[in-house]
Amino acid sequence: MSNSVKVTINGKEVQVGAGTTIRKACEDSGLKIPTFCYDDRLKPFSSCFLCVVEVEGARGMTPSCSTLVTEGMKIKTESQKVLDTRKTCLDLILSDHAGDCIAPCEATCPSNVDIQGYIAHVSQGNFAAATKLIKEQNPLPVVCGRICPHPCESQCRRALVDEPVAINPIKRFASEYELAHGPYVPPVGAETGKKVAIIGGGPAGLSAAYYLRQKGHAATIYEGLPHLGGMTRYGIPSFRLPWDLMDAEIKAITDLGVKVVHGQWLGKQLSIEGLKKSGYDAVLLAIGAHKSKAMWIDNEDSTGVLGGIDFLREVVLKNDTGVGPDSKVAVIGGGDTAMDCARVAIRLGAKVELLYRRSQEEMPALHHEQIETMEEGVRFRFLTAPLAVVADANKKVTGLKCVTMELGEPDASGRRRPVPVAGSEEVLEYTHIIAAIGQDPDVSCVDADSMRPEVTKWKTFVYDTSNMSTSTQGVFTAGDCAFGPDTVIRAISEGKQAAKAMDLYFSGAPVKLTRPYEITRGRVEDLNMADYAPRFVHAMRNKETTFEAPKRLANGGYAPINQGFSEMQVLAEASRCIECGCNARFNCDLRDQATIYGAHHHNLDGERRKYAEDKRHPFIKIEADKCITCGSCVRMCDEVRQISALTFVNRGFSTKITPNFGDPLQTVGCDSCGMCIDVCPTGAMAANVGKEVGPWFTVSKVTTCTACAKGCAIRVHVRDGKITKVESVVEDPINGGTICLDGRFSYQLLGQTQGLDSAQLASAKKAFAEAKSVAVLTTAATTLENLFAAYKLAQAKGGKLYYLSAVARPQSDRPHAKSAGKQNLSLLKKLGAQPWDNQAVDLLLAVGQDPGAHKANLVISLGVLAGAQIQLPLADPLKSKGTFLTESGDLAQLNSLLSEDQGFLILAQIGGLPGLNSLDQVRHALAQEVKELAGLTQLNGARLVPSGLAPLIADLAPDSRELAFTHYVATKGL
Amino acid sequence: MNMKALEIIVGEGTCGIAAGAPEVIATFKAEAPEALVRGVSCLGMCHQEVLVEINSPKGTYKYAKVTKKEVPRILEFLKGSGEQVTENLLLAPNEPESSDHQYLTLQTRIALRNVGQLDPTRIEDYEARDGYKAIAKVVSQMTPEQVRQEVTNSGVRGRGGAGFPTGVKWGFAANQKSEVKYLICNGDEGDPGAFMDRSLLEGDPHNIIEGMLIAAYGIGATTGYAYIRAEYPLAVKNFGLAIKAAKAKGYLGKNLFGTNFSFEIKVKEGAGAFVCGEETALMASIEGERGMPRRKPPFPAVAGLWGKPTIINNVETLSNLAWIINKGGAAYAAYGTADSKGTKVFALAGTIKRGGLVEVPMGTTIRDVIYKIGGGSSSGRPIKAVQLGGPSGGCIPESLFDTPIEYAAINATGAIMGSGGMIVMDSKTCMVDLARFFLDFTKVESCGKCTFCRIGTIRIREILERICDGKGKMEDLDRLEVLSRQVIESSLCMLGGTAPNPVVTTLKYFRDEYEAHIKEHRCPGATCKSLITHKILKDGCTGCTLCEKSCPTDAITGEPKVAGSYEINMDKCINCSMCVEVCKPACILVE
Repeated sequence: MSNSVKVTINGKEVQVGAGTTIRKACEDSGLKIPTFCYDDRLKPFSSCFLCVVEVEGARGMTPSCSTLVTEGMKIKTESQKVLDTRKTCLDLILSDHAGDCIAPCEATCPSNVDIQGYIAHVSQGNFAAATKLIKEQNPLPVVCGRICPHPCESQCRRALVDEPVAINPIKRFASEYELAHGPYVPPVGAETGKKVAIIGGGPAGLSAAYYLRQKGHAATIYEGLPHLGGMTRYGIPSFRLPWDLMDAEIKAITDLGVKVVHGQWLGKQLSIEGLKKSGYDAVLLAIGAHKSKAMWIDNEDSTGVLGGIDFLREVVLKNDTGVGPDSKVAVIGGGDTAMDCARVAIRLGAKVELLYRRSQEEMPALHHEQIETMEEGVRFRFLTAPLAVVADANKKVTGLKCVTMELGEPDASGRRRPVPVAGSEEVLEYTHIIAAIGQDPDVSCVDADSMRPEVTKWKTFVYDTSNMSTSTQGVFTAGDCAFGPDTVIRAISEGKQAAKAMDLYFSGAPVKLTRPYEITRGRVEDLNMADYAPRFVHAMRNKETTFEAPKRLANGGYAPINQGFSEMQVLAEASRCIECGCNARFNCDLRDQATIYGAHHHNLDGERRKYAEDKRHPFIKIEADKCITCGSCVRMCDEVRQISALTFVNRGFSTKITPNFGDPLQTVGCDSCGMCIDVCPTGAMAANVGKEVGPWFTVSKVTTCTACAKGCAIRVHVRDGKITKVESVVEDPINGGTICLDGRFSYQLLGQTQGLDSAQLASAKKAFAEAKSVAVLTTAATTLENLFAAYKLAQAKGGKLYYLSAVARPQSDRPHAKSAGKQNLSLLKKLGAQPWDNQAVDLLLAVGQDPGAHKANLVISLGVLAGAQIQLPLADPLKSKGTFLTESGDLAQLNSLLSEDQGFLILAQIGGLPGLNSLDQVRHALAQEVKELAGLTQLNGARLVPSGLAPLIADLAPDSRELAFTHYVATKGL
Repeated sequence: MNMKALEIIVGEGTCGIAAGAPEVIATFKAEAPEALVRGVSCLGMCHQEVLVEINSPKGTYKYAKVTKKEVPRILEFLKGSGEQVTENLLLAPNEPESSDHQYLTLQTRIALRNVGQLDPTRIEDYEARDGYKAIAKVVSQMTPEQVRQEVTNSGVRGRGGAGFPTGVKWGFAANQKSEVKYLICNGDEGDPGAFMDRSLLEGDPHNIIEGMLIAAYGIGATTGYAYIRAEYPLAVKNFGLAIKAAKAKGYLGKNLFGTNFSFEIKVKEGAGAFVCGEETALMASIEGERGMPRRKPPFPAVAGLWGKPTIINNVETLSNLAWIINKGGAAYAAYGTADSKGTKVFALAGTIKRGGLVEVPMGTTIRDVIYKIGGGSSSGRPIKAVQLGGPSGGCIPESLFDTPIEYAAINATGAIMGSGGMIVMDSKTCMVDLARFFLDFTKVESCGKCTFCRIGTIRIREILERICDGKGKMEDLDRLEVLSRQVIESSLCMLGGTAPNPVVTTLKYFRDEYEAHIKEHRCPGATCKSLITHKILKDGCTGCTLCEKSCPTDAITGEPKVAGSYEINMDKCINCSMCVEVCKPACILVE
């Protein structure tokens, strides 16, 4: 029989190995076939049917994961039928999938800031990391921390437990902390030569500049007003948003190399055509909405009638508005701008009344703004609508003719419509009337432009949110002038989107902004409190401190009016987050495929299974309603580990994966290897951890586990200096691509590592220098470099190297389990080490080993906190780049992403040993001394390099890391 | 007449027992202690149970629907001292055959040849009817190749539903080089309304054992499994007794008939999962795993039970084998059509006058089975369709009743031969509701493995539910078609691969009914509760009060014994149609 067969894949004839599956044949031909239920370590199961292909002559669709190729087979992997089938497959799975790909706070945020992620950083005191994460989506967190109306909090599900998390104050603390400690500066991309003119230095323009620079595009902001900030400076009083903070934050943006030109106005000094002609590759219109809406009542043109936003801007520009201590001011409107106008007018010494045509219940301004405004002395007249301005002969305002309203039927906004009460007209006396009823973009600046983009009837630019482009090619728009007046965070989001769109535009790619697929458990108002409240310990929300009104108004009234969280408060508040977002958000196969195929849970909506999460196992969490029934976990546990702790129950639609008999997983034979987590294509099986993993986007590296002599590969995920996850490595030749409890979870001890401080080092040096007889007790579970340094240390005093042998420990009878206590002793023996015989010495140096009883005058335990509960190894495999000797005699290179513990260096320092100052030096010295280890000098980044030392496997006493982890696991109830 | 000369045979299959056969037997024994009274298995005329056949010197009498009350009268008549019990009489000497009895005489019984004729617990009865002669012949005179050739010559195809030629299938296993091979008898009959296998297992277990021996010899298997549903207690019992008796007589065990051929049979009771009738799931179940199908290839004939070559044959298939060996493959092939040879057993049910087991030669038309043998509609309303093949099958409309029963012709209609379920429906059946009924079954019986079957069936069912509720949209029909096709095309086993068939065929033949639900909010079968109303016709009402008494919500009121006085309060009526069931003058209109 021939070893290869000829098949046709998508019309192309290829030669593939006989006996391979269609899937493998396709992958070998460079075609990626999606799957959920296939894993190289498992027998093909063919249940998900995502991997289907069309095979000519076959009945129906063919699961490629389990169908072997045959001679002349004609395979289609991308036909419409294949794509349709896969999409329906995904639609069906999603229609029975539950969870929140991203937390509802993030989904609600107009700029999709990863709120759960940054709160997780804050909960661990890592404010810099939190702000860095925020700035991936929002370059103005300090600004937002002060003034964002935080729609996120309205969807916070903590409200179903007690009160929403105080998200915005958490952001305020983290971002102001970061600003005070040196703002995070993202890397600027390599210059592309593309130039963008940004018209408007408000939140949208600044945001666009920030993200454009990160892509290496040149950005010039043209700002007509004297300072950057746009509406955040000219529309929000500085007692709410201090300018020094705002300026510092804006500087962190302009420092990326953004050119700023002030005093240039579009329609005056600038035109789109002119900018394009002068060499800009794209123009971004981010001119905001700075034109007050008119009331359309009689005598509105009288002196003393001011627009709300105009009034605020003139005050910032220190222009005379006429409002002063003698003024009696009417502010018309119920929004935040109306409150700001009233409060600014109060600070100018005027008497202020605020007129609103509905009742307080309907008032759109944030509640606390209303209260603060009232407290500062503004009188509120509800159910009062202006009819006409009353002016004197000089056209100067003397009053306002008003009518009393009552509330009728609800209107389109759901609020009750105000209707005038007949005969209730009256004239109220005022010197100034400020109409703060909204604002519009002023697009008249492009009227004369030869490249004028189209505008809507609402005086905004016509644009498409999927490409941020106006009707003029190469002219983009963002923010209030595009979408219409909205929040600052919305403008920031639009600026960011525009930057992405321009980046695509420059690259020549189709400009289409997409978002990954998302599923949600629902809006907070549609969810059941009974599903949430009992699961958490209740803790009320921490509150920011707002100063008393007299203090707010003291000294001109422009000092900040409130005080954010203390560090204690912010940590406490961050701990209140209940982490709605899926732990698998960054590695969910289902989400990835749903995005690729455009599938959606609404397409085939229907009944869903509802299962509660099972967190009884200390290391493994099961969320059965996220399960897509691929059975990989069951099969991994059964086929590979031969444990069968997990099983299917029920039939048909209600099929569920659960521990046997529904008992806690740890009681049905599970040995906590966590391989079920690795094979889960969604977040149904996950590590039973919380905020410590974010979830964040991580970087990962493959390294070697040293828990026993096997030397399994482990993939270590790291975020901001913290290990978030350890996974098995599918293709690793050692141990069938599996790992055990120690390999997977012992990283959880890392936070408890303690180093050697300088005083301890000095005293150790002294003790060593003074000792006449020295013994060094070490272990084969450490790196070769440490071991060699320990050997040199012993040699320096004519002492010996020892290890602690032990009787054989019971081995698990399960395949791929840990070889408890087994280590490769070949190098120790080569270096003349002996089992510890408890001889009397002056000084015993215990390296990663607990000596127990001893006859030494002095014991220095390196990496062993004698008598302490937690004992630490000299060199943790996750914090070392040293080398480890496996049971097959291979040199396994450790490959840490974390800052390293350099154990050998400490030993060298204690002994004053020369030539052992770097890994390379130690390796060369060792290779010279032990010829069989010549490979040490040619590691070249390979994970495994053969050594010349014949393996010598022996039972050793647990090293200190293993002892500590054993204790840790016991405390977890395993 | 001398009572000693009487042989009284009472149908004591599951249906007979349910109808009161043990009581009838006891009464005969008490009233006529000298007569030979025997319980036999079900003759297949389930609608006539308890069925009593009496062989007397005058000839054979058959009585239907006998209760203990009629026993003394029957005996009196036979003694010559009473009148014939005419209301129960099916057959009597010197009298023309009743049309009811034609139910049996119009059939051609090969698989069922012994069922109802012998006492299944007595191996001697089987031996007396040429039992175990075929295996004796096979072992002593034929090579395995010859056996396979004979079976191939007979043209018999797998009667479990798929219809793969049995002799050919055996060849695949026979060609495998393996010390160990298995032969499995698939008795996990799961189609609702089907009971062919049950009847055979209960009524003629030795015939199946002999069939298994022949098959085992043909492929070289030494161990057999009989996978029988635990819900068939009598079948499990009779089959177990038969194995014991066969062993005792040397038909099972080591070195049979003094040759090297050894064979033993183990009984494995299935736990009631429909999918375990699928051969790979069945094998998983025997192995102690969850009953979930796996991908084929490898086919069981190559790597089956515990990885060994395995042949799985349906009960009915096995029941034909001894006959084929005894009479020759050609004799079997003489029945049927070019496409399909031999006979096929059907379980005839639904609104049919004479329901039960029917064995007919292939090629017989559906019409003949329903009208000639089954006697047509039992309700008086016209028959509109027949569901062939149970939940996996499809619906064939009356207009296609002239279709001959053969694999190719049945498949061409969109239905399948299946294992033999044949459910007859009259005009008062809603075809959307019918499809929903079958999807109810399959959605629960899916093993839960494949995405399309697990979730697709429930989504299809939800759409059908919507349509039945009058909330369907025309787009739903397109969606049903697409989703049905995708479930059929993308399921591992034939449970999912056929589950949408009832939807596909009703949509094909009765699309107007679907559209009536959607466009007119009308259920032509007057079944869907959301779309029907009940109304008492004044003219017919006799004031009998039965409707009032039957109404669970007290929606019906009227003056007792006053004709035409009864009315239904529509606010209270829940459209349960209980009143319709009881109304004697049939004056309640449902529309």
